[in-house]
Amino acid sequence: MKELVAYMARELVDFPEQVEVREIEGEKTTVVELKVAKDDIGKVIGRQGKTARAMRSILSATAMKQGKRAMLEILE
Amino acid sequence: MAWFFGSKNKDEVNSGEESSQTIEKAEEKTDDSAAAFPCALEEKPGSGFPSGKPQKSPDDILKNLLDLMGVEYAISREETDDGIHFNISGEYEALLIGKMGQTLDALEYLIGKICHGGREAPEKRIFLDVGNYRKKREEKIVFLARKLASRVADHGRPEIIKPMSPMERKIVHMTLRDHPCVETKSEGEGFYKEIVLSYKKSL
Repeated sequence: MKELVAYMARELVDFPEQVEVREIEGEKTTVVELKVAKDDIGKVIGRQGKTARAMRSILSATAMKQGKRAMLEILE
Repeated sequence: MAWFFGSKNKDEVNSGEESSQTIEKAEEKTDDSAAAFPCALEEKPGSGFPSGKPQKSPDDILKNLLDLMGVEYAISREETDDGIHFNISGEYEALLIGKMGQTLDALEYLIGKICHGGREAPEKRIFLDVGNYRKKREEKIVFLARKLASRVADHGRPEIIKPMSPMERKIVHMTLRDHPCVETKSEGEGFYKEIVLSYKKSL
């Protein structure tokens, strides 16, 4: 799941080398934290959060396949 | 490649002298290829795209995403005047569609965004479908829109269609565009909006 988020983020941003992803596994829920360059935050969030929502949908579907739940958090 | 040829030669030749020569040759070749490598890398970023960013292939992005999601799939591809249409089939179709087509919309949007960057009117739009879900859904929406419209025409009371995505709302608006006594209007905020079918007042 970490790789999936990292891939999506790297494809979207201008500074892919500054993309950092951390996976915190809980009992039921996995939290994926995404950190990007300051100038790229808008790109991973999108207009009215559209891009962030799309990434969350894809992440949720992937987690569901593994019988888990996943949350995507974008860190500032 | 250079290493492969070098070692092959070594096996064939018995004398120690010659084998050391071949090793030298092999080393020479490795040096050459190492020198050639940075050039090959440098060609990549500047693909002559105006914004400076190279254009990415939607085919590759779709495949990479599906691989990372861990699903098996088969993709059919069709290019038309309005864009590139992909249809995915496989074991995980329901998962890829998601609730109300959410996952499918997300994949379609994200691939479009990555390929076209921030440009408003790309020359080739990306259309995604899974197991002909969109086609079946369109037929259902057209059927529902006509049914509710005739109910509004009969009773004069407005009918509400539960929240739908912009593309699905467009189907409703287009279906009832020429309806003699029913008008359609999207209501609400955000991505998913309701559609209200009401009796035309100005007749």
